[in-house]
Amino acid sequence: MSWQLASLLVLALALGGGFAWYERSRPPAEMLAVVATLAGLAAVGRIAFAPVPSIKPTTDIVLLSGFALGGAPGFVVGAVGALTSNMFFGQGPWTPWQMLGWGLVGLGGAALGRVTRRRAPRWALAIACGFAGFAFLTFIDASTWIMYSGAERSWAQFVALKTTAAPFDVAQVVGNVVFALAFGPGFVRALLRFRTRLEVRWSEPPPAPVVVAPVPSVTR
Amino acid sequence: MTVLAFERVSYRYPGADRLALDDLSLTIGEGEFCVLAGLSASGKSTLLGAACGIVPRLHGGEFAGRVTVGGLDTRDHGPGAVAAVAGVLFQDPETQTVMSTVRAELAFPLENRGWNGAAIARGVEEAALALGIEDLLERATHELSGGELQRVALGAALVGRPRVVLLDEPTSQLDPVAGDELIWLLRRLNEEWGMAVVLAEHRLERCLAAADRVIALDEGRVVCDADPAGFLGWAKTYAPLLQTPAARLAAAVGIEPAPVGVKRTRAALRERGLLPPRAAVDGGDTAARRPRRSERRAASTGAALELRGAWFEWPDGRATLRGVDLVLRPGERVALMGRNGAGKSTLLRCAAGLAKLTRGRIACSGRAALLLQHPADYLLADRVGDEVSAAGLATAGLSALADRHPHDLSGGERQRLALAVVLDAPEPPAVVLLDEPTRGMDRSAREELGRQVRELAAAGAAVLVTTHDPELVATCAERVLLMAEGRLIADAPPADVLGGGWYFATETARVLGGAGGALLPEEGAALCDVAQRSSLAMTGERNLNPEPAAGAEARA
Amino acid sequence: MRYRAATSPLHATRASVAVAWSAALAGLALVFDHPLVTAAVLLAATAAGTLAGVRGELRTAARVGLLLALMFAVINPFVARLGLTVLLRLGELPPFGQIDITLEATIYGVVQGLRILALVVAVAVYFAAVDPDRVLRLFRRAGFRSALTVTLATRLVPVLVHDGRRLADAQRCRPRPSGRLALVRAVSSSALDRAVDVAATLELRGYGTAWRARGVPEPWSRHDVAFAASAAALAGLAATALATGLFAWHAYPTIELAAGVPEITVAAAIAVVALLPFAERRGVAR
Repeated sequence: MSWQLASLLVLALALGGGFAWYERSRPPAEMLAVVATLAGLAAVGRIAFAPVPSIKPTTDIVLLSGFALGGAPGFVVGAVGALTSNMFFGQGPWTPWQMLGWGLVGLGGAALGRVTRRRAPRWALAIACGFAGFAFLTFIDASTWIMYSGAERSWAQFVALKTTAAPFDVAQVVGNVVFALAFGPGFVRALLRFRTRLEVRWSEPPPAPVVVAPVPSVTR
Repeated sequence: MTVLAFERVSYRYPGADRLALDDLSLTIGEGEFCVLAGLSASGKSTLLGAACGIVPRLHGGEFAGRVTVGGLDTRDHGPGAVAAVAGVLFQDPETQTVMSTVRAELAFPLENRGWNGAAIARGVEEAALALGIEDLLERATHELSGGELQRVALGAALVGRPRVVLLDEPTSQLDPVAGDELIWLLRRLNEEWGMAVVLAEHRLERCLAAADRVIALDEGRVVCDADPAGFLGWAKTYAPLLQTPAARLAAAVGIEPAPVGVKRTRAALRERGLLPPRAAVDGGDTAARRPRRSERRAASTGAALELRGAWFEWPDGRATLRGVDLVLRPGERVALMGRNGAGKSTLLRCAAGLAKLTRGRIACSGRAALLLQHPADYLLADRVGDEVSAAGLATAGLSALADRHPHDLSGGERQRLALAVVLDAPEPPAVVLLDEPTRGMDRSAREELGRQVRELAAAGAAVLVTTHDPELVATCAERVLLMAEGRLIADAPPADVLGGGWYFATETARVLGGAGGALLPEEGAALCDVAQRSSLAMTGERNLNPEPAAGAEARA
Repeated sequence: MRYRAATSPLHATRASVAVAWSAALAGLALVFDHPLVTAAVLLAATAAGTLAGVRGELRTAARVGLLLALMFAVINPFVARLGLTVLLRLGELPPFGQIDITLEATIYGVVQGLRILALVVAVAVYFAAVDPDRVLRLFRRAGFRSALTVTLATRLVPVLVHDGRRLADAQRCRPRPSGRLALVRAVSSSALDRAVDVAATLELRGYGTAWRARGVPEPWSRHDVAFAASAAALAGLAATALATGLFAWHAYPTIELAAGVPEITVAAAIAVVALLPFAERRGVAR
């Protein structure tokens, strides 16, 4: 019981901390718009590939968003993506855990982006996505275990849980890797293009030379 | 008192080779209703973007000169501050609402400006009532129609009571009914609350009557700045593509200066005894008949597309096609009209195989090529030349643009390319289906499209075009289908449907009251000549217009 | 498990109170694993969902909850080794060692499974009957950028789905389809185009210029009062039970479970207190 309350406290603190970081970074309108769009896209990815059981590109989208946009935006893309997609898939006690899990995936992406200076080869992105997929699923299983296993908690329970889920996990991780191999670099390039666009600012050339063109005009 | 001033503004988009605004100076006074005219890419959108500070802040590029809105310089004040004095409405309603309910949407700008709770509640109430959206306040934004969304977005732009409202083709994504409502709303805002309006719009015939002033742009420069009558006079000589149909009719029969709007044109014709007698409203035979069995058998052989008893029912119970019978022959040019939700798009989608009929039969003698509403959706490659084969590109006349990025094309070019994409197959299509191809297009692109439709039909394809644009139908169709509630309610030549129509009518037909089934200004002018001759014959020597040949001259 | 607008006392309650009431109900299921409390919460949540008119949503949630519950109920007897009453000896199983299915472990698994079900159903009542927009508004003062991001993302999902469908249709119209890869690329790049437009709208609505989220104080409705009282009473019952150790029980080595008059009374009180606010239906419509 105290385990549960402690874990809920940690969950609340971590989520609150992530969002507070985002607030403190005072995202400009462009950043807020792109974070919201990517969170929406993560949800849409889950909806679009719902008929294909193993491919869930959400983890990829979140990781790559963090990779291209940085820590706070990456965390929020993941957390909001989980919240938004559950509005279409079903909310439940698992929602906050998924928010934190995908938020951490976004943070991991940002860390990878920082380490590689946003120039990671295709295979590295794919491996990172596969690893993140596995880590996310394990995190969710662990949260289920902590929340529901009752007073007589044992590692054996967790191992059993993980073993029953193993086939699904493997399929999803393979899906993540395949998706990242196919779309990872292109997606990152598009995001980086958007990011450089955010940095374009007002430039001040000398005034244009005056050319009074002889235009036929009816002037009031 | 000036609300908007441009002082020698020049602007170049990043990477562009020519200026989008070229040393442009302009002032708009308090309470003016000003229409921006010009073909696509003439700089209308850029001008409005610069007026609210979005250009260059969100686009980058090079900017010179000064824009002042209600005393605020856009160099020093961001779009948020400028929006307090200038409300802005763009084309696409979907991305102009950001909150989940209408009430939250209207409150959002006021919250951002730091108003207190009571003032926000009052401002929202006032704006909702003034714009007639009070019934929508508690609705979720994602369930509104395009027209409703656009009104809500306008409400959010105006809730802080700006002094000027800037609108960039606000009706181009709407059906004409919703578009007209929006224009009427602007007129009311302008007349009752003295709000200055700057409106960029392609369908000038809809808004000229409301305007005080028309500013025509070309290549980023002001080429005409006059009242509507002055503008029409200028357009007759320098920019025939910007003339309204009524003005072309007036010009063709030699009325100078051209009157503005349908009512005044009709009055001017009547005054000169040129108005032919109105057509009788007699419920003439335009009905879509269900063909007899023998006819059907004959029709089936050699039909390009045939629908028999076609139904399309959605799983949730709505039926968008209700027993449609239709035969299209090779080489036929057919227009399909009707309000939004009448089933036009469903019919096209079923014909092209994107959707399956739930009852009835459909037969197509070959491939059906369908061009949907947004041509950009077809273009996914980074290079024009990668979209279609070289032969297809040459047929579309786009070979010179093979190395460009599809997004850099003009609207008309992009549509031609998208059409080339759907036509790009070894065997020519039996049917070509175009879904509202003229939405948001200027007149030169519309005329180009009419030419293409005729070419495709001449090559042997049946062409079916859905459109809200009666002028396009008059120039390129030989048969008009009218749809309502999933049924065909009329099937006849354009002159019978659009000439005798009330809502579905060209401007010329509205001026002439449908006389003689005249749809285009040139046909109308010929009728007027006849009317004049007969009235001359009746009244003897009364000579009202000494030069009836002026019309013939203009046509030549 | 998605919010559905309806007219019910719970729908008519202000967001802060509805959150507190839902948290109290779900918290009971989380804190106590006594079968009587679990049953009371399950009963109260099911009845509340029915009275709030979101039964369909509850049914979907219950299906997911049952699946989770079943998993735990099945796993527990295989992994717990503390029970004394052996029902079945399965011998050696490589990863787990000696496996004995005991009565205690089986019962404990079932009880835990029921608790999961109760928790899922209670949370589902919250998500189905409490408007997420109004909840989000609670957070706006603390973090309006985060709240705005959530609102905007939710708003954009249908827009992006629609865009994706349009793009897919256009690809189906091509005589030479350009492949899934190009389609996914096009969907993501059109989403970024949408982001640019949305950014322009945010700028024009004055985002980032100033912010004082001060709503008009809303007078407390009878439903606000009723649900607040109910939430407080639930919390009070929980605190009392915790302090007196009322619902303590254990399954191992043998089951010891007290289910006397005080336990039954308090469990019944939980269900009644949670459901009382639903009795008043005046003023539920807007």
